[in-house]
Amino acid sequence: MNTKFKKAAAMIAALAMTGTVFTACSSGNDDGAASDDTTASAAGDTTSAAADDGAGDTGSASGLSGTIKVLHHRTDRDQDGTMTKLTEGFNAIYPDVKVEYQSFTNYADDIATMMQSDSYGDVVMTPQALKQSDLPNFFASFGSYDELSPKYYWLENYSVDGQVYALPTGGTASGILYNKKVWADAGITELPKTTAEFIECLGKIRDNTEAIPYYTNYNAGWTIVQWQSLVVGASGDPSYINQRLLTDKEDLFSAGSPYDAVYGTMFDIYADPTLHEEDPMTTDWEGCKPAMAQGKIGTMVMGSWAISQFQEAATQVGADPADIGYMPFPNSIDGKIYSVSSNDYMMSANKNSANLDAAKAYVEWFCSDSGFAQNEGEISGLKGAPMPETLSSFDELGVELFVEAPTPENLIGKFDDIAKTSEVDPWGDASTNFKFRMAEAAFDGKGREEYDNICADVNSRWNATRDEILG
Amino acid sequence: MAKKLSMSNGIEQNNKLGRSYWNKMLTVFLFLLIPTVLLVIFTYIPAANMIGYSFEERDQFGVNVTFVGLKNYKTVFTTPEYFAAFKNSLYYLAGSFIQLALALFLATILCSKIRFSNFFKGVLFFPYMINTVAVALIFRRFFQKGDGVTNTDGTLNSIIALFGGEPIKFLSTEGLVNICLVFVSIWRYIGFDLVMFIGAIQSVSPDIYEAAELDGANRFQVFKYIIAPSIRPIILLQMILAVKGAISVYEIPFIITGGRIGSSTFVIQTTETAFKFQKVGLASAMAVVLFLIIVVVTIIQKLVFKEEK
Repeated sequence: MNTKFKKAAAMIAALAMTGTVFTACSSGNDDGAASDDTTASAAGDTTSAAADDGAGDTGSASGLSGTIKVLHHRTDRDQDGTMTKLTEGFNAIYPDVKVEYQSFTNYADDIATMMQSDSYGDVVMTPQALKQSDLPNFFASFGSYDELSPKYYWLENYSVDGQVYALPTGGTASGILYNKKVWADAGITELPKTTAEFIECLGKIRDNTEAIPYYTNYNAGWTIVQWQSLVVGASGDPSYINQRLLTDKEDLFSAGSPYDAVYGTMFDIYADPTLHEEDPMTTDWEGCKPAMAQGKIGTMVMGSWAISQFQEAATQVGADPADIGYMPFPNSIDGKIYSVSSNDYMMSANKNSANLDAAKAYVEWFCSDSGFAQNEGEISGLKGAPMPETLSSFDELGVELFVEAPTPENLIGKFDDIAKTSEVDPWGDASTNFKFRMAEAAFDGKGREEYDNICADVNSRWNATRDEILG
Repeated sequence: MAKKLSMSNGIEQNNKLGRSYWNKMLTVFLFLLIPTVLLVIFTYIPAANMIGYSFEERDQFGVNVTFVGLKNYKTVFTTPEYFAAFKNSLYYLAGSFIQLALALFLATILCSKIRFSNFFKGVLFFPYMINTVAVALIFRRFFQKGDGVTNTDGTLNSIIALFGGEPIKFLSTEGLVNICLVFVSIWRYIGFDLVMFIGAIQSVSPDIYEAAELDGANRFQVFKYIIAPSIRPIILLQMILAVKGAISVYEIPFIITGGRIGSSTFVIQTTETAFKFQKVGLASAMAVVLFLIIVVVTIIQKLVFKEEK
């Protein structure tokens, strides 16, 4: 028994020691942050020695030091070492800040879980599911909207009370990915200007080539949400959502409305089994990239972020990356085609961070000087930066690329509120979503009548919730 | 005198017993400490929180929480769409009884003297150990109908074609998709039933089989009069688990179809309510309702079988 008690005592002692180590670590961090402006000798712990050295080195331009942890979703860029290479650029300016990365395959859900506590890294990719008005509960402000908006795009949806809580890492245009060679082989010399012409082009691909005209990529689920990114572009109106949907209370679906233009086209393509792949439920996202590069697939609705991934796949299988083309959704308004550019993940700094200044410096650097967006073929979040090469066809077609208008104070978060509460959720991919219902009705050959039924159902649910929320 | 002696002996024994009793208790306590702590932290506290959440309106991030009383429960019971998903459970319920019967049949065969019985046990149990994601990939390929450009016909359609049949879009056809998913579910979980049954059958004394053999009982009689009655408790347990499983199917349809093409289930809808519509309060209420349904079904099942006994 004595020995047992000794063992137990030893265990308790061990536990207690682990506890001290943990507290020592955290206090070490705090000291590290505090030593920015207090005397370095205040920190007595051995763990903070490294940070102390940093703070003592007055030679650095910034005076920032400490360790920051960046949580992000690009597991691929973690694995291929891009992220660590980025840090070198950051450390050239801030040599005393140590940057650690952690990436998550299931980022959106994992970050939501982590944010139930105070410890969710120092820098995060701003979770898209977070309501705009809740941003100040979690993140630090980068400055006022008036001050930052001349410099960055897309701050509107990430500002609360005139303060900006996230900066853009990059952005994408909405449109359609296609294989130039397949389209040319089908005898198409001019890109379509209307949705009817677009479907005709798909028919030509079916008749004149071996390729699948349109690939639904249905199994992946999220792929159908790409159609939603076409809607605002199809309206050609930067204030379509704020003005027409929320203020004038237009129906989502009515003959010729932007929603109808986009999803009507989707329905017609999906309803014609000769225009898409045989068995939509067994598609394979990774497999479709080389397939498109090799000209087995003609067309796919996809954000412009996908271009670089498809070009990489082309290089890997020995196809020509230049064959991967990108065009806008051909919904002409008075003869002009529009496309909307919108932000990819934004980046924020945890307001509870022990090294908040270093975290903010990292975000500012990442979003303006890191070159991340350019390398990814994305549109830079900086105003006035050149367009990525991947979107050159937009210039040729004279496409007007616009950014959505800022949401007026009284309407902030309302669209999302209505979307989630009514469960219409235009940006969602729940199995009951109207996009899936339309697609499945189309696959089943149920015809336009069923499409109209779904539209009517969506309208009635949306309108009821909208009137409840907006009054 | 003798009595006195035994008494003092008794006291001494008591003392000894007392010490070893406490000793034993300490060991038991230390052994139970870790699993209990894990159970409390990862099961009971979250479950209690969930019940708390079900009376609140809250999103995934837990900000702006408001107490709404029974409103979430009212929503669950007044939205017929939520309960419509239970109709898919009927497919799985039917499937789980086929699975039990098949497992019982195979277990009986494997427990008799046949060659390579251990090998077959291994083969049949193996799917249970494969990760569900891998299972999903295997069966997506298995049921695939190829388009001849990006992919070719899957295993099943190749076999159909071999016999001159027309290939079928198994996973893209409503109704058929549920049958396919049930098939996958049987394939995956039959190994577990099998192991349970084999364990139970082997616990029956071999003497009884020998006696039956001497008396000239045939295979079917052995099963009917010896095996079935002796493993009755395990069969009942497996049936309860089967019903519970059918009501709360989740991972196989979620990973293979994502609940689309009419293959959604109540649990898929619950997770979507929480994580796609940000209604964590409502989803918690749905989870509590599911829990209560399972409790009620289990109690009914127990009562019915008790009466039979």
